[in-house]
Parts: sequence; C-alpha cells; structure tokens
Amino acid sequence: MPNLDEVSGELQAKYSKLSSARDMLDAVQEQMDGLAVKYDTVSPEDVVTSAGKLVAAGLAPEAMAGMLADMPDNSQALQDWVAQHQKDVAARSEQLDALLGETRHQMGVVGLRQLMQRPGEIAPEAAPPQMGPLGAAPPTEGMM
Amino acid sequence: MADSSGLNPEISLGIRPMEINPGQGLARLGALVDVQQKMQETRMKGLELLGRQRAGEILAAAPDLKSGIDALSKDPLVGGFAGEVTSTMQSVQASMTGAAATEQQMALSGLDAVLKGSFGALNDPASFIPLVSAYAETLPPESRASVMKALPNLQAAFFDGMPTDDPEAAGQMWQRRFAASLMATGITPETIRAATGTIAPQIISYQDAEGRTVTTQIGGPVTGPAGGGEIASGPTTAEQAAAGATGAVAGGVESDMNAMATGIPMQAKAINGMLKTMESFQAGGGAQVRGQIASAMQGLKNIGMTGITQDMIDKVGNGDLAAQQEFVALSKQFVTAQLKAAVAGTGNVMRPEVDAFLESLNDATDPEAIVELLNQAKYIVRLEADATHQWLQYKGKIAANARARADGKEVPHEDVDGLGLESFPTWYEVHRDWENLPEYTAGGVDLGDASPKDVKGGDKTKKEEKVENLPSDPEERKAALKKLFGG
Repeated sequence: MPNLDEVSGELQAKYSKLSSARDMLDAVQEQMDGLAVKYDTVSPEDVVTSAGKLVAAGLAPEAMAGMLADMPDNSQALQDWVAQHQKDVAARSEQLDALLGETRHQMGVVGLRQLMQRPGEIAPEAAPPQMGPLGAAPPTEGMM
Repeated sequence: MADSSGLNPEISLGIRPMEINPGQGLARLGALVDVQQKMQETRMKGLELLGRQRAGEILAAAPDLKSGIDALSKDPLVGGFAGEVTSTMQSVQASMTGAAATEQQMALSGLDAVLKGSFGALNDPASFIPLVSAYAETLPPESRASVMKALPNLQAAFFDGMPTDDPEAAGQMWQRRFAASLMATGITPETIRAATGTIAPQIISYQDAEGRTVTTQIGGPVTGPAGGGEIASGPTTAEQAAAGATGAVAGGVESDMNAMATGIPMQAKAINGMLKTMESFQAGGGAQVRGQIASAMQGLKNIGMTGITQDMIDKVGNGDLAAQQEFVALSKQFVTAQLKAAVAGTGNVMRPEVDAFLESLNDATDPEAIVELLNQAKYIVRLEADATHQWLQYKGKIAANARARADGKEVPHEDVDGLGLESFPTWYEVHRDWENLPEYTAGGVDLGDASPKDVKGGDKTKKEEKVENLPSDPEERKAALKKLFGG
C-alpha cells in the first residue's frame, strides 16, 4: 500500500492538472457565452477572434484550428454551431467539476490523516475495502 | 622430664587440646541453613522465571490486557507472581496510555491550528496557509511538521473554488467539505460539533463504509461527549502562557490584530467594489455602463451592504438618476460603517487615520471626490495589512528569541529583545516602512489605488485580432487559421 505522502503527492499532481483544465474550460465557456449572446448576428470573424483569445490563453493552435475547420458561414447555422459547442463545453465542465470535487475531498481526507499521523508513522491505516484507500465518498452538494 | 609415655610435657609439640566452644556448632548449623536457603531461593528464582515465561505466553495469547490478567491469576504456576506481573503490566499500560494521550493531544493541536486558520480564511481563502502557519509556530515541532505537510491538501480541499464575494455561502461550503473529510477520516459528528462549536445545525448526506447513503446533522450545540477526544478551543497552551507572562495588554493587542486580519479582505473588497461603481459613474450613462453599475451593486449587496434592494438595482440598471444618487449616499454610509467597524476591532492602532478619513468623507458630495477618498480608505487598509504582516513576524521573532534563550544561545533578533507582545504598537510605529506597504492582501485582493485613467473612462478597448475573407474550403481555412494562431 502506498504511504500517505505518496498518495498526497499523486493527488496534488492530479489536482493541479484538473485545475488547469478547469481554467481552460472556464476561458472557453466565457468565449462561448460571449458568442452565444450575439444570436444570429454572430459571424465567423467573431468566432475567430474568440478562438485567438483562447489560443493566447494556452489552447493548442492545432486543436483550435481543427475545431473551426467545420465552422459554417451561414449565420443561422453558425448560431446552431456555437450553441452545440456551448452545450458540449457545459457537459465537459460538469464532468470536470465532479472529478475536481472528488479529488478535493480525497485531498481533505489525506490532509486530515497527515495531521493525525503519529511522529515516525509512515503507512496509513488500512481502510475497509468498501471505502477504497481514501475513505468514503464526499457529501452530496446542495443537500443543505 | 619425660613422663611414663616417654614424652616431655615441657616441650611444646604445637598440639593444642580441643577447646569446647558452645557457639561453634550453631555456626556450622547456620552455615548449612544458609546454603539451604540459597538453594531454596535459586529454586524460587527458577520457578519465578518459569512463571514469568508462562505469564508472557498467557498475555500474548489473551485478546486484551484485562482477560490476560484474569487468566494469570487463575494459572497455578503464575498465580503467585500475578500481583507483581499485573503491576508491571499496568505500569507499561499507563505509560502507553500517556504516550497515546500525548500523541492525540499533538494531533488535536494540529487540528486546532487548522480550525483557527480556517475561520480567518473564510473571507480570504488564500490567507489559509499563512494563518495556519502562524498558529503552527506555537506548536511543538512534531505537530508543526504534520500541520505543514497537510496544508496544501487542506487548502485545496476546503478553500479552492469557494465564492469570494459571499462569506456566508463560503462558510457553509467550508463546513460541508470539512465535515465530509472528517467523517471519512473516522471522526464522529459529535467531535465535529465539539470542534466547530456553534455552527448552525444542518443536514449533510454522505456514503458510509458499506456504500449506503447516510444523512446526518452537523452543527448545533454539543449533545454529548466528543467521540474522538476533546478539541481545544481558544488559545493554545503556549499562547496562554505567553499571554499570562505579558499580561492582559498583550492579549488585547493579539485580539486586535486578529480582528484586523480577519476584516482586511472584506474591507478591501468592499472598497474595490465601491471604486468600480464610482468609475462607472464617471464614465457616462450608456446602457452598458448602467448594467455594470447594477452588477457592481448586486455584488455589494451580496457582501453585506445594507440598504440595497433588488428594486433599486433594477432602477439603476434602467437609468433612474434618483436611484443612482441614493446609491451614492448609501455607498458613503457603507464605507463609513466598514471603517468604524475596523476601528472598533483594532483599538487605537488605526484610529487617527480612520478619523481623518471619516471627516473628509462627510464633506464629499461628488463621485470623483469620493473616488479619491476611497483611495484614502484603501490606504488605511494597506496600513492594516502591513501591520498584520509585521505582527506575525514580530511574534515569530519573540518566539525564536525565547527558544534561543532556553537553549542558552544568543538571541537572533535584537530589535525585539526584551519586548513583549504588548509592545507591538510602539515597535510597529518605529519600524513601519512607509515606502513598502503591501499592494495586495495575502489572498491577492488588490490594495492599490484606483488609476485616474480608469476613473475618467480611459481607453480600455483592446486591439482585437481579426481575419477577413476566410477561405470557404475547410482545408484552406484550417491552414489559414493555423497560420493566424501561430500553430
């Protein structure tokens, strides 16, 4: 069984990557929202401008160019295209939030165990198999 | 002359007749008894050794100490030594209990530091690590090491992703996350109640070890003994000792500084919100500007500015001039109240600066002047932030000096040598660096002045990249876009 410090290191690395993804998705969502409120007045130039900002924020140029390759020119079709991407981003955002919440919870559990760790103790106490190595699931948000 | 036996009794042959000593027989008998006693002792020692070995086997096989001791007293070989073995085992048990209690107390001290830091960080999540680190300085080295190791995980778990403009919602989110992690770690709801004291009763839902969803209440009054041990509240033992040595004045200074540290982010945010709104007033009355004002008002309402109603926000958004003026008046009241609260919480440390500000504010009527005054208010907050930062360093220096003195070494910080916590205001007046006041709180809230360019509605538009006449062919378009994006 990995010791508490190893688990802690893995979780922090995972959380760092997830947080970066969260920042990027936030940036994408912001641009998508800005395009969506233009309804059928949105133009390919608007989309390209938004895409440029995302590339400047760190999104891979190849990925962005690939995504825009199938962008329609027709205003109505472009509006639908933006709406579809907005929906995709929202769905991914939801998945990412769940992952972030779970990872945060695990970090809390590990942090508290580190706090309770006896001097010189390395390995964490074995958890019941049903709980997994990091304890029970986090609380359901919004239950208050 | 020789006698009839032919021996001359005048000549000594060195032969003495046997003397009769009545004690000699007893002495020999005593020596024999002694030998017998020693043999008996040896046999007893052998038996005792056997008994101890047997006692060890019994105790090793026993499910717990009490059952083991019961079994010892019933065993014929061990029974005679059971008392001594029992006494020894109980001593060992007591030592182990004492060690466990010490370890538990150390762990709880760490938890206590995290709790204290958490309460201070609710207004400014990024200040969690600095606050807990400061508290951890008062803990034993072992506890401090555990706390420092756990901090990055706890910071992410309890504070990341929290709303920064709604302390109430942030507090509820913290409670939920903290409670969930504690329960998953194996600490009971009763312990949480003991630890968190007076949090509002609330229901949370989580999965137990068998995967079942369990709904339970946390918060509210403590209804029974804490399951995981009592969590200390209030100052730590070291802090109490320090306060006792330096007197009630030191405690007062500490309390003032804590109040100041807790209030700084909220004051800074409130003033920044006000500045943002005032800048919008200066910039003109277009629909977009009105929307920004309404949005800023909503934010101020969320962080506790009294008097702002939804109706007023709607009216401002629709260009109602009377509502805008009413808002300006309310803004002044709000900042006044914020700073009065700051004065109340910080004793005499900041009073002269705040009094001067309040006097000026009463004479101000136009938004531009208020912007200037708000910048003055921010300057006061910067002084407060600097004081709290210096306070932590001051305490650390005093603690380091005390440790060095206890070790018989030279004190490392002569500037605080001989001073106590109660001397901080005087020390700070002398050592304050006017040229290097902080520009941000520990949590990154801006403490700098608003730029006049922003106030006058300077050119905020940024040059945006544009591409015209995109190729209609997907591949050509892709290539053109890649070129544009530099890929």
